Amino acid sequence: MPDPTFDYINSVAVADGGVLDANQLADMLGARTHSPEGPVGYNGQVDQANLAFTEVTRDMVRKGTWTGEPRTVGSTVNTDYFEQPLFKGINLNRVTEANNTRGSTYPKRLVSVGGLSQTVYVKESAKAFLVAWGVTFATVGRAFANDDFRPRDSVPNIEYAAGWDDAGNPITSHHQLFATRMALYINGVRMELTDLRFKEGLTTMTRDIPVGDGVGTYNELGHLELVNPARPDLRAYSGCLVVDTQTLAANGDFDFGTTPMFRGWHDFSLCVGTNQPAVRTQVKRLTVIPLYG
Amino acid sequence: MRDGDKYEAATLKAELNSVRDAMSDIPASAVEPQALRLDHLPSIWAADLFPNGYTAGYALNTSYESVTAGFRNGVVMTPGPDLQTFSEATHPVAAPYGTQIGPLVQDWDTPPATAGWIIPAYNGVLANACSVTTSTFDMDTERLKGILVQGTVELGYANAGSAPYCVILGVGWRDGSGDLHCVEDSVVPFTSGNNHHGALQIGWFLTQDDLDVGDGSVQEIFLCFSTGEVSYGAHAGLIGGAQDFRTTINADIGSYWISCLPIHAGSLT
Repeated sequence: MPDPTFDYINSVAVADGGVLDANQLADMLGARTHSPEGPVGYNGQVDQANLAFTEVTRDMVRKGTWTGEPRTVGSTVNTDYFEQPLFKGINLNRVTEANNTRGSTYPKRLVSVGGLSQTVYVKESAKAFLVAWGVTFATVGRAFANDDFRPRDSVPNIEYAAGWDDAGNPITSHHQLFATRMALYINGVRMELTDLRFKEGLTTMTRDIPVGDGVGTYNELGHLELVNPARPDLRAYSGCLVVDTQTLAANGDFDFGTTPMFRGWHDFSLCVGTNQPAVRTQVKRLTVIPLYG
Repeated sequence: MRDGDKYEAATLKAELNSVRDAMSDIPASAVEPQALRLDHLPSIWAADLFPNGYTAGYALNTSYESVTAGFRNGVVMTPGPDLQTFSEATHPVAAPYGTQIGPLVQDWDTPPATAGWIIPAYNGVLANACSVTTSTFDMDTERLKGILVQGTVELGYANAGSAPYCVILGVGWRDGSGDLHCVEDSVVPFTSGNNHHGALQIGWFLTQDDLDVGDGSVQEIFLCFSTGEVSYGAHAGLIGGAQDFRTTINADIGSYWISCLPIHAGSLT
């Protein structure tokens, strides 16, 4: 048991009216008798045994000093968004730097996914938030009755979406065309780290068996199944982020001064944007835990 | 004592006694129900252990960066010393940080000298590294049960070559002696084919048992990144074989981050 009793030796060595010499004064001022040595040694270690005259019970200490109440929202239903593409003709795979800037158009055009938003009351200034999420979703094309949206390579009746490949060249086929972006927003501000791009691929779910060494001959009509609403290209967006003051400061123009995790209500949401006719979100969850400590 | 008072033992003792009494005699009212608050508890938020924050990474939303890294094929299937190999190439910054470690080498028979983990750092800037620096500490002394480590890498494109590729992620740390380690059990290969795009996430609960593989302490926690190839087609059956090297495969990555959360749990005595 740490002994915080603040005592000193030689406490009666000098009688009232006596002569106080330097050694006695030094003993009185410097020779504390407690353990561990120095107040720093028992800082934070004072326990029940130090309080012999009463008993500290759990109800004396405010609950929830480490975390706020963790809360998860989510659903397992399929929800479709965007009857018409919100970003039709826009290459979401490579937004421009201007559009990526805070306050610009693009970050404000993502919309919150239903069921993936929650408002949390922070009872006092938090040290951080632990935010974890996961959502499975599919981008699906839509077949049209006419050729209004015919793709460049004249595959009929499939929604056209402009794009560039990873080398920056215009895409001349429907390979890698489609982009969906998802990002975590806190208090309406996009967390740029979490803004990720999801393009269609040829190798998930419905890719035909490649020939030989994995090269080459794909069934062109086969992977068009990816844009068939009945066989969507399933993707998953999951993440876990410890959001502290530094993270927030690096991500947005908060109007909350130097303590963005202030006492009050805070909003967390996962947002989505796509240049496809529809995004179908499926199993999804969003967990937020305020951390105090 | 006031100015002009005699400096005597009695007056000095009286002053010291008042200090002693104040510290030794805690009034009962101080510990009445609801009297103790958060302010009375020692903070278990380990801010001093993470002076540079708990999350690090880089937001690359407008382009991708080509990452050239490689590993011997078989290492994912047969963990061993290779999983503790960090690239020694010093391009473009001090190894193993950066995104382009060595030239692109495609040699089935020879492991390159630059093979090994890299730590993503956009544009070769250390400040962009997927790495959280900490003070040097060990879990036991700090009464930590562990550190929850979570990381995500946005993969834009894996080299569209002649066979399915994989991107390999792991959690690593630098011990107090400066040595780099990878938690082998944390390693996850993502078989991306040649067109997997999106989020790759891994996590690990880093404990003292992990740190004891090194010198028992930690001063940096990071994501390990490399690429590999699933043995396929003409090379099937050679996984881990002496002639099954295919290294320094490039991949495009976008944003990435790593988050660390120290966990106090269980007994704190």
